[in-house]
Parts: sequence; C-alpha cells; structure tokens
Amino acid sequence: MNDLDRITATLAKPEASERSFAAGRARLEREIHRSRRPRLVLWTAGAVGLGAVAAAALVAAASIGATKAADLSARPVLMAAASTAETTPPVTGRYWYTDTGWAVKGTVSGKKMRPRSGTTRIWVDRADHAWIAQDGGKPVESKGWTFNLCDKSVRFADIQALPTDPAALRAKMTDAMKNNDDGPVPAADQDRFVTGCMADLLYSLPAPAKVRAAAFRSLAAMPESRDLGTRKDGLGRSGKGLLIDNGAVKTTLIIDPRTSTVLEHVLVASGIKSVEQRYTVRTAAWTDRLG
Amino acid sequence: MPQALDGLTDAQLVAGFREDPGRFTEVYDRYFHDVHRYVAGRLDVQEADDLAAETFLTAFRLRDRFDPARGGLRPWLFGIATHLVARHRRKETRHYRALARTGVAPPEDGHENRVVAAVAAGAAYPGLARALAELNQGERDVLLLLALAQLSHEEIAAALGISYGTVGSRLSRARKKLRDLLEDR
Repeated sequence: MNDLDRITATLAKPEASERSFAAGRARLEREIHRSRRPRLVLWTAGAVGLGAVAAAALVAAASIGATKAADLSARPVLMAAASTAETTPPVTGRYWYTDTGWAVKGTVSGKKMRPRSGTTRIWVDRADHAWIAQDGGKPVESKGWTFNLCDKSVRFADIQALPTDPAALRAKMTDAMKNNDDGPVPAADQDRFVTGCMADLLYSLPAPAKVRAAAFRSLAAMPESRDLGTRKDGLGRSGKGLLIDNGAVKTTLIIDPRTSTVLEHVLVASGIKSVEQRYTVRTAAWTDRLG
Repeated sequence: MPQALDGLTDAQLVAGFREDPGRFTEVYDRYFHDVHRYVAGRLDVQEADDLAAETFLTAFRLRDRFDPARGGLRPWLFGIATHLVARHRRKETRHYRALARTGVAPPEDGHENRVVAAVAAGAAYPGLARALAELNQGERDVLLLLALAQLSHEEIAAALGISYGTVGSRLSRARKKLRDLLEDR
C-alpha cells in the first residue's frame, strides 16, 4: 500500500445516503426553477452591489426623468377589486394551479440584455406537494414545495394564516422581506420591494379571499397609484389598468374587474439598469385536475 | 438513475443543459456521489451532504462560464468543491487536529459502519491526520484531489487553475512532507 492508497483508505467515508442525494437534488431543482422565473429582486441586484447611498442616488436620478402620469387615483379600482375578491365563492379543488408566462428584457449601462421568456405551470396541493411544468414540458414532481412570499420560502399553511388586515399584511410582508432567503434589500428599496410582493401575492399565491382583499386595500392606500383606464394585456384580454409609480420602479397591473384576478403584472425599473419584467397570468385558480 | 446516463458524454450533458437548464440535474445524477466522496473525505459526511449539494448549485449558477476548452465537467466540479472546502479551511484543519488527538473520527452520521471504518483504519490514522494538518492548503488540495477524487494531473491543473508543472511540484512536496512526518513518529 503506497502513501496515496493509505490516504484514500484512511479518509474514506460511507457513501452519500439516498436521503442526502435526494435532498441535494431537490435543492438543485428549486434553483433551476427559480432561475427560470426571475426573482423580484432582479432590479435591485445592481443597487445591492452599489450600496444604499448609491441606490438612493439611482432612485433620485430615475425620478427626475419620470413622466407625470394621469392624475386619476387607482384607489377606486383597487377598492372595488378588494370587494370583488372578498365575495369570491369559497375555494374548491385539490390543486392550486397557476399558468404564467414571463418575459424579461432590458439594458444594463446602455447595453442590451439577452431577452428571456418562458412559461411555468405549477400545481400544488395543500400538503405542499407540487408538480411543475416548464416551457410546455411534462410536469415534474416536487415534494416539500415552498411558495415565495417576498423572497421568503413559506408553506401552504403559512399563506392561509396571513393577516386579513391591510396594515398587518403589509407589516407581515415587510417582515418576510427583512428575513428573506436571498439577501438584504437596501433600505431605500424596501418600500417598493414590498409593494411588488403585494402585487405578486394577488396572482402567484393561494391566498384566502380575505387576504387577497387586504392586499388590494394595501395597494389602494398607496398615494402613488394611478388609474390607466381600460388596458389590454399581452394575450389581448381587456381589463382595468393601474400604475403604481415609485420613481425608479413602475408597477403596472391589469385586473379583470369581474373576478378581481390579475391578468398581467409588469415591473419596469429604470436607472443604470433598465429592466422590464412581464408576468402574464393565464390561470391562477383551484382545480381538481392535474395537467 | 445514473445508469440511464451512461451513454451520454460530458459534451452531450453540456449541450443538454445549454439547451434546457432543467437538464442540469443530469450533471448532478452523474457526479454527485464522486463529489460527495471527495468532500466527505476532506470534511465529514454531514458537511459533505451540504457542500456537495452546494457545489452543484454553484455550478448551475456559473454554468454559462463553463468552458469545455479548459477541461471536462469533472475537474470543473471538483474545482468548485475545492473552493467550497477552502472556505471551511479552518474547520478542516481543526478536524484533522481533532483526529490526531483521538485517533478516532467522531461518529458523524450515526452510521455504525462509519465508526467501524475509522477503527479499521485506526493504525494509520493519528499520524496521517496530523501530517495532513501540517500541509499548506495548496499542497493538500492537490494531494486530496489525487487521492480522494482520483483526478489526473491535467484535471487537477484545470480544477485549481494552476499549471501542470505546479501540480507536480506541489504533489512531490506534499508527499515528501508526509513521508518525513510519518517517519518521525
């Protein structure tokens, strides 16, 4: 036995268990999934690197160029959506099902980014058991699914327990952001980050009717919301358009007023990095059918 | 699962995940156990569970930077694993020191065979562990990529981003140090 063989033999450990193999693979699958649906924080990534002071400067610079939107507040639209959400019939179905198209484009320091887009379909049952189909592919099973609440991983049960009071919901969302799984959000970006999360909740999470209503009311409380009138989304569907203009980030929502469902969510961030993220929601509802 | 991949070359795996990122799981299926074995040898089984998984997450995030011209997937993955192990450098050194003191590795996994393996190897353990702790990081990386991961000299050079010649010189230095330290006992 030479010295190398002896090292090999001496340091040898038991093989990886099946459990650790599976756990590692699940982590990788989640990472792959996340990479396809760009994170909300994408537009703050540059700002994180720059630090809070530079980020604030970036916001200020972007605000100067901001155009004056129509002066009609979107508050009535959002309050109406809240009432509609609240009167939604009780949930039926085994799976929370979302079918979302997403697209990202933009420029960094004037240079064009490679545009990316895709579709994601997810079915999740109440025990966090999920099936995910990407870009028209076959559904892949994933046990122990976690939802993304302001970049914090949460379970189905956590979403059911969210506050139904608008201010309490916003506080809870802020708390999720501060303890998120992806790293700190600069102080200057936190408010609009949470606003984006609130819009996200409306279509990406299986939130109870009263929680959705609270999210609408929380958005209605923002003085910077503007009514854009009737708008068409990327699929040609008409709805009520509204804009939440936070200077560096403009959030546009198109809502179906009959059902209060979100048809489209567009985030436009401008600054050193100008990015548009567009989420078009084909379906976000409960169903009994897989596939 | 890995058997199904036997027919695929590294180049096909790379082409696969370039086209569909979801196919990066094929890289995982093929190399997880190799990477785990290497990290477990250097740290412990529990650390390896985490760091081996972390290696593939990191590799996935950096997949666009993978350059086949600079070597295969194996050295690339082991390079990443070595980098992650280096972050645990102090812990690793402490681990060797602990082994040197007791001569028996603390049971990591609750696995009985873990302890059995340590006892079987016990005769060589205290001295070797102490000797490994005396090597510098660069020497230890080269030596353990060879002994635990069975990488070739070319692959070690690619994994660590060093020249072929440096691999040879570090290796002979490491082996000489080991010989001297072990004979000293």
